[in-house]
Amino acid sequence: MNCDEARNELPALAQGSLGQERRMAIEAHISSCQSCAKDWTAAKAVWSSLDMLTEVPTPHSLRERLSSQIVSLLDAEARAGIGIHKLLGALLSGIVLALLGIWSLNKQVNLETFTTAGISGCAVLWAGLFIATSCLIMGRFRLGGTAMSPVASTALASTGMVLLGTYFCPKLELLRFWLASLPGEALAAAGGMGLSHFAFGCLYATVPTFLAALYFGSRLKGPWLKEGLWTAAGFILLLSPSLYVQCSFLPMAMGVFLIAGVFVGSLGGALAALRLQHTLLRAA
Amino acid sequence: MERYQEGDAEAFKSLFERYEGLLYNFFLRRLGNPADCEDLYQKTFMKLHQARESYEPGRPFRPWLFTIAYNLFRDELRRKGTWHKSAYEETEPEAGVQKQESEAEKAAHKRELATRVREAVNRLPEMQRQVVLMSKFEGLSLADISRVTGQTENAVKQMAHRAFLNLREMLQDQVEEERK
Repeated sequence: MNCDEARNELPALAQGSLGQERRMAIEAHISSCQSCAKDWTAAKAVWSSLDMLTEVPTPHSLRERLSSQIVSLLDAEARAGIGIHKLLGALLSGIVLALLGIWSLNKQVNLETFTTAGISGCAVLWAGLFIATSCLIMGRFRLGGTAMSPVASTALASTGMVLLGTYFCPKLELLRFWLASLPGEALAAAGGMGLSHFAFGCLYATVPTFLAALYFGSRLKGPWLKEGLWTAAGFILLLSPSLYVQCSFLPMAMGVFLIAGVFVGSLGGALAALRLQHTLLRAA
Repeated sequence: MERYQEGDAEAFKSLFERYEGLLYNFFLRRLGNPADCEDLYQKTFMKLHQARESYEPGRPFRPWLFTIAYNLFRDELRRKGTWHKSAYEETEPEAGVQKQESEAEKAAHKRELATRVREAVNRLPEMQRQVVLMSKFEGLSLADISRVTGQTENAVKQMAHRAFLNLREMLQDQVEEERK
């Protein structure tokens, strides 16, 4: 390190904002250079002379008035809830998403095996779930201390990815492929068909949830487990009509194992993404 | 900050308690006029409230907050064309109390030193003054100051170095006394 480099860092050294390695390098230079040592003593003196400029307390009335004003704005926003325009938007998007979901299912699964009442009930339930999700996304709701907007966004995004996947490649085709594959057969041999169905459910749900949580992860902050649980629950609920229709072609026990795998997979995907986000942010 | 973004009033109050004094003094040191300072102080918090959704959780909050404050200060300078440097006087907390003569002398000497330091800081070129004030009083690192002011980190380091040299020259007596 040369003298010019050391002198440039003296203000930062006086402030105490240098990293340990850098600080030690500069201190080592100062201890061996008389001229820089003199400059460092002067820099410390300049820094401490600035302590003469004391802080002035904010006038009490100004502080109280401003704080109350912003708290009132927050209260007003909370009372306003979601607002009529956003509610109408949630209703419309919920209905459209439900119809898209039924259409996507119909392309890949023979819905004629179900009664009209059954299909209608499925559509109505799905619309209700999508409407509720849209409301949670648009409003500032907290449940048990967890912000529901990013959680609902993650659940909706991962459901959307799965439904898109279902349109191009139905779950039952993928399941048959998995059961016939080496790992699928190995798991079936090791723990029975239930385990193989469970593993498929995990894999099926992990990828979309991981990707969705990675995208929305900057707004999904701890407690991770709580938010992961809410995300997994939201994902299962939103997918439930599709899961019901597609799993109805499976034996009940296998359907239960598969749905359990979907829940665990979505929980794992969300938590893995949150952890990765946290690590990346810390590194940045 | 994340809880404030979700509408948590207690989270806002906690944030406010932590930063309002820093912000008030940020403007007071730069503008000097308490009326202008109060105006920008209020505007900063209102802007913070309106822009809170744009804050990325996980990013350092302090540089983000002081970027808002600094931009408002800069806009105010452009609007006014000039500013009054530190017209405020620090007040004695025990102003009404009778003092011993030596205590009064000490207080007067302290006020005189503070005035010299304040005048020295005010005589610095504007960006050097900003760098000194932000690093000493707003607690921003030189990297943060470069983000707030839009200057490169090297430029901020150079300004800090020159500011220290200038202050050393202007406060020579004081520096010598501190060194002893």
